[in-house]
Amino acid sequence: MLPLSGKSLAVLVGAIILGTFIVAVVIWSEAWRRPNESKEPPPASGPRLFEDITKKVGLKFTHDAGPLPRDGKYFMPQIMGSGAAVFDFDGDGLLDVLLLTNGGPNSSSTNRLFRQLPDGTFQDVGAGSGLDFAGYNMGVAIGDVNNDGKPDVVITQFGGLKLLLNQGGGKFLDVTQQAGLDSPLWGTSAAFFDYDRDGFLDLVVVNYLEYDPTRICDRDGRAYDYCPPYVFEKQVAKLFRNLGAKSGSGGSVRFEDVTLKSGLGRLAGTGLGVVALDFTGDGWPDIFVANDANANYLWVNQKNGTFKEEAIPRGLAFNRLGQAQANMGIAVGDVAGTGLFDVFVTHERNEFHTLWKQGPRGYFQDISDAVGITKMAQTGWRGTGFGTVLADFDQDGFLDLAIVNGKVQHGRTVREKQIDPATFWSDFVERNQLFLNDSKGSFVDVSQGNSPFCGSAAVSRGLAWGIFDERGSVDLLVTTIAGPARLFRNVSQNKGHWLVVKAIDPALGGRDAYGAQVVVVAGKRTWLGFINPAGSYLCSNDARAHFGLGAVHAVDAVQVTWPDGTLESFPVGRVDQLVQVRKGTGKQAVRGKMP
Amino acid sequence: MSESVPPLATEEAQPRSWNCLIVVVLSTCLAICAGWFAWRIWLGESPRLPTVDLRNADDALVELIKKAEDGVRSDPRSPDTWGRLGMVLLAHDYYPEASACFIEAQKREQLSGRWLYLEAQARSKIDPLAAIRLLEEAINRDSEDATFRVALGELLLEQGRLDDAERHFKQALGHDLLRPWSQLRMAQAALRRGNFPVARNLAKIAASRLDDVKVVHAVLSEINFRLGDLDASEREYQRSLSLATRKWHDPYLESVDRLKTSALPQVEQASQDIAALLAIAEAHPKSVPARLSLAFALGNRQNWEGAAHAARKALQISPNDAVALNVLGFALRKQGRVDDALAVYMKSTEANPNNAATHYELANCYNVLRQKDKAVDALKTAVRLRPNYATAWRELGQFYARDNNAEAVTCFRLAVELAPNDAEARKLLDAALKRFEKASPSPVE
Repeated sequence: MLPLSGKSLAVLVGAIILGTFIVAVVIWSEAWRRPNESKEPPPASGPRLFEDITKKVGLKFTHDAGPLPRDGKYFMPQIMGSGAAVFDFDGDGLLDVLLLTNGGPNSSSTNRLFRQLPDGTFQDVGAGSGLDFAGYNMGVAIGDVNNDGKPDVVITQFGGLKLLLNQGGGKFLDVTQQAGLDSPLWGTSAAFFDYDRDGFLDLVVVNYLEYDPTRICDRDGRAYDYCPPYVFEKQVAKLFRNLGAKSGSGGSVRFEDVTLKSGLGRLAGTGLGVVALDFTGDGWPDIFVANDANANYLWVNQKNGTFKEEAIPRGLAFNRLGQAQANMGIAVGDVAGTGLFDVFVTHERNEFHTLWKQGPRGYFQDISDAVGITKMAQTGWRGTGFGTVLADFDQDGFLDLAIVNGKVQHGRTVREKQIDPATFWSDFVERNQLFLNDSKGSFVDVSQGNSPFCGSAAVSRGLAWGIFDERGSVDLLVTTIAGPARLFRNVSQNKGHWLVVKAIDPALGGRDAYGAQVVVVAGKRTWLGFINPAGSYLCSNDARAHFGLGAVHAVDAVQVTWPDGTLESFPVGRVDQLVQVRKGTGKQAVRGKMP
Repeated sequence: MSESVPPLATEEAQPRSWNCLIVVVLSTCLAICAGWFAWRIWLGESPRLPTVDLRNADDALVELIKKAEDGVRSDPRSPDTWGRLGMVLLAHDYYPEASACFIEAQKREQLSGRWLYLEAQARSKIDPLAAIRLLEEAINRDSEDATFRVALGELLLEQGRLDDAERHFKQALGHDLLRPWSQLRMAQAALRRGNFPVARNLAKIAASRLDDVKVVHAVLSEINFRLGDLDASEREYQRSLSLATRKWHDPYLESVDRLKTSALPQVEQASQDIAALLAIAEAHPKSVPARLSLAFALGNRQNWEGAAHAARKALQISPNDAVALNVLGFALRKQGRVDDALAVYMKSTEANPNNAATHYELANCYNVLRQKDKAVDALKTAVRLRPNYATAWRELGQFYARDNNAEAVTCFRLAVELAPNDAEARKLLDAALKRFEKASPSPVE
């Protein structure tokens, strides 16, 4: 036996301590192994872009989502929400707001129309306007269907469609039946556009699915919940051709249902979002439909009254793995400044939102990773995105991105037969997101520094943009399920210069020239915009084109390609102004080579 | 003056040094061993199960999870018990809880990559970058498992890391079942790079084995379109439309899917096997889809009484379910009980007046009862509710044709456009064209 002197004892103790330390290190590294959590830095806080001015301007509206589920019966239209429109219904130059409600035909709540007053506040003028009706009101499209210079309103519904003709003086007349706009389907987003270039706005309405309210859905025995879309039959989008106001008969409006004739009736989908723009560069508007949990559709105008679906060959149907995703809201814009517009679509929280870059013209490719969208996961958070807007919030010359979020299922085990009204919607709330373009075509999440827009969670659905005052910056309007609509004023500091272009056609009653493409030229740089308010989700936006110009102090020209293909150039010069361009008054230009 | 160490002191110092060293080493080893055993005991004795929210969950799900938890408690040192619990949780979308279980399983089975793989699957929806690192580690443990490589390749492709993705797909080419999928993904990577000829070659090779897979033909359609071969693009496009989505064979996730308590995945697997469907329906007494799948399978075998019985069972669970009512009505009509069928369809339209299929079936009943006008009205309602209802257009055309009404041509034409493979509709259209010799206005107006 070894003699243990004091020194030996010290050595022994030291060895035991050392051994214990080694074991502890091993245990710690194993027991607390979380080897693969992302260690990316938290999102940049970024400049504050928006402030909530809802109360200040008197926009008092709470969405009615209808009665809560009972006995496991979840009414699917309820979770899809309602949209809003930003438009100048009375022609006073100030943007007004229409907010929809979804309480059902027997509800006491109705859609509400708010007129903007010169001091920037809003007055509820909905009562007696003709727009104030109850129902399962989903989406809205704005367009002057009879070329009288007054914008008219289409409201889509679960089980219906309504056309309200603007009579002036804040009155709208329901002319749905007379106009031949019959649709018993579940309409969602809609868009006015002139697909046959006859000067009259036609209408495309995307429909969601053949919903069966008797179906009860439970998630593999885990929870009663809203049904997913794949449970039901898909539904076709409907196309209505505007036959033009009959002369000598009070200007009555007539539409023809050309769904089957046009080819749109051949393929059913699960339409939630729609935009109508020229995707192929031939000067004729096409129709892009975001289909939930299915391939998107791109209906390419064949210029003979028919359309051909080409989303798959043109790269817009799926993500880069060839997977269909939960496609909801749509935003288009020239993100990278190539002169061609790109397409952004929001998805469900377990998926990446997708940005398809256009190039060459008419061909699209999923570049979500290249612009930092897949990096959103690195912040540890994704939401189920619905409404979305691509616009230059800080006017630095590059498009930024806003997304409003809200879940579509509980996400936890819920099997109570009776629901607690006080807490029901709390399962679905999510915060919104803001992303700034870093000028290299990538998006940086700046939500953290923007608590007014991104801080409080809600079940958000619609997002519409508009220039609500003479400052010329983009403001945002958000709709939520069973919650208040909120108006956010742009308060971005160090903003760059801007230009807002309103393009009208005097020969068409002075209405907005839907389908016109606007290019602002300043030195070697150009900015691309469009005249068509459709987009996002269930919403109608400002019909003008907004351009953030950064440090540019003067504009060389505004070039407008009108819907009939003619190209005119307008000298503008000064920045920071609203410019109205009228067809036929510009300088005829020669169409240059398209990129 | 130098001092010398006394010889006696040196001789005594050498054994002492060695003694100290021996003591240190032995003590350290002893401490390590003791600590290791203590930790193993700790691992075994105190399993910290994740907290799973099971309030009001389905009985079958609660039972399954409890059973898996008991397995862990009874053998906490076993990676399989932890893994099983993780798989049960993953099957029912409890992602964070599943992930925690797989971490415990991995601690107990460090040479295998399977628990890392499953943890990656649990994390991929929430944190794809973490999932990538887990998969890389899984491959380090087991470089031969092609499933790991394909899954990792897909995540890398999604992140735009094309070179890394391709490297793993190439490694997976050696696996027979996964080879065509790897080739497909490599085609998509080449497409992303703009290398269209290479993309097409790879996609064609993949298509030779995956001809029934939608995405293969969609990719080929896009590639051919890019190359300007519009005819080939259109052919591939049409082919893709006719196919369903299918995923590659992942044995790990398929094991997870088999643990789902829901009847639906089992029903899909059972397909038309009556005995299996019956067993599933009885094991899931509250499942309407299980009963309906049985009803459909029985109907396909012309066993209308059995189909009606299964539909009635479904209606006991959900009295107004439109699909169940339609199946019951169909079965009754096939048994010659047309009046009973009519009553069932009328009940269905009360519950859901906007079901196109119900109106179509109503038309069939009215047709048998020779109530032509009501049949026509029902068909018109069906196509109003579902404009692309090809068979309804065809049937409507037949009514018009019998009435010598030229609108039959429009109806048949629509039926053919909407369902180009419907040979009967095409025959009817040809006959109607010969008979009427001119197009008629749309019957919808």
